[in-house]
Amino acid sequence: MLGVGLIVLSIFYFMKEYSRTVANLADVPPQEKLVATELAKAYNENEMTAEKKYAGKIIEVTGVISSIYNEADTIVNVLLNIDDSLPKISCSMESSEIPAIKKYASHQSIIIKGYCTGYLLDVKMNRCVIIK
Amino acid sequence: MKYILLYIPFLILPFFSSGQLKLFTKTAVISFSSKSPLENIEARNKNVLSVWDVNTGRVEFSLLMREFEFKKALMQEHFNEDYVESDKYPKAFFKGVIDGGNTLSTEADGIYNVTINGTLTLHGVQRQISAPVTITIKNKTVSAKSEFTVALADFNIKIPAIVANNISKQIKVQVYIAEYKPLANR
Repeated sequence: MLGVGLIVLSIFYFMKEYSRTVANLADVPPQEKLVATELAKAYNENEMTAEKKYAGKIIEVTGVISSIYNEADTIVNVLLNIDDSLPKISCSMESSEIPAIKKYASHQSIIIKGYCTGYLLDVKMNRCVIIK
Repeated sequence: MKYILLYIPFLILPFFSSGQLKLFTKTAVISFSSKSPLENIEARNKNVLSVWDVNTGRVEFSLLMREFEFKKALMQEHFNEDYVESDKYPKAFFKGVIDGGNTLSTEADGIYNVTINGTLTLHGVQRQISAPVTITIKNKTVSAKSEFTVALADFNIKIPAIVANNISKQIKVQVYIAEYKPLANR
């Protein structure tokens, strides 16, 4: 009887895990909190070291908006850091955040949480949500 | 690498000389799909970097593997951790040349079906590939799309036996660029 129960539980766990969708980051606590210039400096100084520390992690970044790129309301990227001597932080916004991000403009402060994916001309964050 | 080097896009494309028309996008979309009797898998990366030197027909793509988004979390985790090993190989690249690309003009509206040949670097493995590309030019707006297949085995991507029947050995790749813009306007 116990064996059958364990098998049923295992199947239930497997099915739940298998069908688990990618979480909205609004519901996930950040693994790191820092300001955008700090993240940019880390990648600027040593990409390999920064990659080990931040890539693949959920990060909450406080920064100043440099610009907002909107491609037909399908791809919306917020660029943080107005200091041109540093890389930008490119935050690819979750589609549910697009109406809210339209209320922001260049030079405004913002706090964004996202999944750090690495460095490709900019420091990249994906699935981003607005915290404040 | 110091940022100043990366901030000058010409330095990532040393074969370009000044005065040539170069088109650029940071939002090319690359998606891939696997169809098998047990399940279909799809993922999309909408932040792919691409530069096209119209005068020479040379095209480059760069992307971060972690930017591929899946619907199911478990698939995304296995993709990054076990299959493409994103920690070890965080980026993929393509460098190629459009056949007859040096004769294309962005001034002439039309739909051009061409072929691109080049080297795809994925999972630390380089392979020559060839793919059909449709380039559309309308009112000086340049868009492009392509579709081709890659074999997982060619890139040393190993799928565990327990899920081997869930994942196709041939993966369909689709590329879409809504608009290439002049490099200076990036």
